[in-house]
Amino acid sequence: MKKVSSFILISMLLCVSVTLIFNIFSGEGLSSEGTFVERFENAAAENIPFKDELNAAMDSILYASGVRHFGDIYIGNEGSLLRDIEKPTGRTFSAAKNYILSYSATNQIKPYFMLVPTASVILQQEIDSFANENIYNQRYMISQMYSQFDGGVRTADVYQTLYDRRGEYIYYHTEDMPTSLGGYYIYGELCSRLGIKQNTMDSFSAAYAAHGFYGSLATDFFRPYANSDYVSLYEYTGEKGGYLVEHYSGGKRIKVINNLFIYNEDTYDDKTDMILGGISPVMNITRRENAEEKASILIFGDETAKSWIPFLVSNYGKITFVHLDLADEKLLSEVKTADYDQVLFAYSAAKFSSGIDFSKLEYVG
Amino acid sequence: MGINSLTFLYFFLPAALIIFNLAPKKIKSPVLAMISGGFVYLFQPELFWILILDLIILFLISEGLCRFENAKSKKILFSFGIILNIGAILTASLSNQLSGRFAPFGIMVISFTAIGYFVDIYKGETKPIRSFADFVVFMAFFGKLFRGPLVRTNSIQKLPSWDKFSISETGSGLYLFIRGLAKYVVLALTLVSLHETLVAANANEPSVIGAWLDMIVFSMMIFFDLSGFCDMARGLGRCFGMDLPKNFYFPFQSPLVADFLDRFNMTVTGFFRHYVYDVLRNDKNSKPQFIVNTFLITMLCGIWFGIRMNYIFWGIYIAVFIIIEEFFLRKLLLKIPRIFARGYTFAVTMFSMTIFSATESSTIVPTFKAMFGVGTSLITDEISYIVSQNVLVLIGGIFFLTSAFSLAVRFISKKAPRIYGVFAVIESAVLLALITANLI
Repeated sequence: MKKVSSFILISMLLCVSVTLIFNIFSGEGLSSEGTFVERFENAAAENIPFKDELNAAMDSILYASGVRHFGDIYIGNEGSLLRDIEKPTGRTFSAAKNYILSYSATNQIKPYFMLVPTASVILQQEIDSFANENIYNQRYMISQMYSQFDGGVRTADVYQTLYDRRGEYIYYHTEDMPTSLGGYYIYGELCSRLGIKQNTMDSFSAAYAAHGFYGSLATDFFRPYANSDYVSLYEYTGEKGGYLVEHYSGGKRIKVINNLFIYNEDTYDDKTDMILGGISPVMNITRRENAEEKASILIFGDETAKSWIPFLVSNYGKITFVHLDLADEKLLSEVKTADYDQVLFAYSAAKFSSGIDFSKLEYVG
Repeated sequence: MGINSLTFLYFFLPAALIIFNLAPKKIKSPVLAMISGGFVYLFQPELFWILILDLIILFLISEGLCRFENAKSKKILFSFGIILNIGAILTASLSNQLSGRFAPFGIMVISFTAIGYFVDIYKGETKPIRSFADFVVFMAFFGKLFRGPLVRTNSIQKLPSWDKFSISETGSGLYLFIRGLAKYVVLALTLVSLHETLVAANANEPSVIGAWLDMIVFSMMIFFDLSGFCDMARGLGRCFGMDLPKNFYFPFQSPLVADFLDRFNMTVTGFFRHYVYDVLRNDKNSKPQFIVNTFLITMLCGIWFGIRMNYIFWGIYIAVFIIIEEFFLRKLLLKIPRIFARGYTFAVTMFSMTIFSATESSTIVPTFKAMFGVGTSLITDEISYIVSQNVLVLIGGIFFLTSAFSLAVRFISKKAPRIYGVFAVIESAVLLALITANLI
């Protein structure tokens, strides 16, 4: 090997080494976990120059060679990014069952329970048939969870409803949650279980916003291979007056919105937060007029509730939404189950399988 | 800290190179011995002292063989040295397989090297190494402790860069090391998971292409693992002023199975050939001796990978073909077009991999059947999908398995040395990026 080539090669190695050492010691340094070598290796992996670019280049090479599965995300044939869910443990099932049944017994109420499947199973036709064999079977998980309650709660199964409409825009391409249209179908199934009358689609006025947005799944690498999204805002036109959305966090009211939607799409980075103004630990959604004449419902759920709550409000005078993982003890103690006619637990399969702290139900009044 | 770690690549190696090249010529050996010791300590601190103790005992035996003048005492000491090392090899191999305990890092390579070294001293074929630092460098240079190559005292040569820093030698050493590391990190490790996927797919629904593909992938996996580590060792050797022997020479292009054995793990085959085969074969024309010795050599080559029945059967299988070739096929295979001879050897070695790769003896016959298409379809949808998801690694693997890349590089380096220089830098930069991306 010639001297010049050797010089460049040695310099290249030394440059990376020096940059790496500088990055490590000018940054957070070494962590305190593991042996010295392990700490050094982790710090090196974190601080390597052009880390993101290297990863993106590597993934691009793999994509060009036909690979469509990166980590837990599959790139669908029709431009959807489909995130597989993690396999729930036996403890996930037993904890959900025990805490919810205990809550039910304490408050002498028979709650409703719903798990919403994610796009990775409903849109599995977008993935190669042998790739989707590896995707976790959410249908099985949902039926397994429902059977655990043994009649102690009333369950709503939206799997088939969503699957039958898989050709429609029912999931965002780049966000792991149902769209408002998907939310409408979920609402339809909920209506039949909750014993309320489903309002037809033409009783909602539709507005479309945030055209061309990319959700949280569309990182720089995935963006070129994914279709963009838009947000549909369905507002009930059957009654006048509108709604008041109050957000609570840290023991106080942090935000009040005089409508179900924020029509200015620049307000939020997460465009789906145009619906309800996003999700807070506790939220009260109240009909401005004649709220007390209608029923009320207490919902324990996650971020995906944004897709179907705007439809459900058309049937209720007051909805209180509680995000168990975000809410603290004080906030939860102010929620009184007895104030509500119905209680619904509604989670996406992804959120449920990753674990929800149902033990916090003990704090709910 | 493994050799395939960011810590080694970007901290240990540059630091070691700087320290070694700054050291005066007189203390280069002790410095390199300490660098090797430092690497072993960082790699496996809990068993470090066992290795040091082993090296001290081996050095004392070496000194004894040198100083004892009484033939009987010398013979006893020699026998003790051989038994000690064979014991170490057996203990290391069996403890790993039976109890899952790790043997001291590099003990196999050190013990085999020591056996050869003691035989050479005892027979007066080589001069003993009198400096402990030189002895440690010869026995336990950190680059070769993973998979070899096995070296004899006369096969390890100091380069001019040992005396004086040579930018060209260091550069070409790094180039070789990076290529070896890329073989291991980018190809071998990827092929390990592909092999596991194929095993599961074939167990689910066997097919002809699935079975062949799995054996090809397994062969590539073994090849890139061993030759990757050997290239790393040779590259590191060159960086530190030593020339280590080659261990592979495109074995899957061999026209004969006997040739395959000579090109695959060359230093190991050479070791057994020199210290077992040549010693036992008194009469070069004796057919029975040839048969017995061939079985012995191939079985020992199998045992090198571990003391397991399937490795021994692999050796027997290879021996059968070498014997058939020797007495019936050799002339024919060397006469027919090279592509057919290579095709024959390739097929024989692929079938041998069904034995070599078997974790349970019950899987060997079904795999053989699938490769012959007995009761299986040509290809399943699952295999098609697996191929579609691994096109790059399969094409890359097959390309680097053959001599195509090497021939192209050699052609460029001869015809256009300047372009070769640019190519080598670009290739190293790309490989370094690929390695880093795989390690983060």
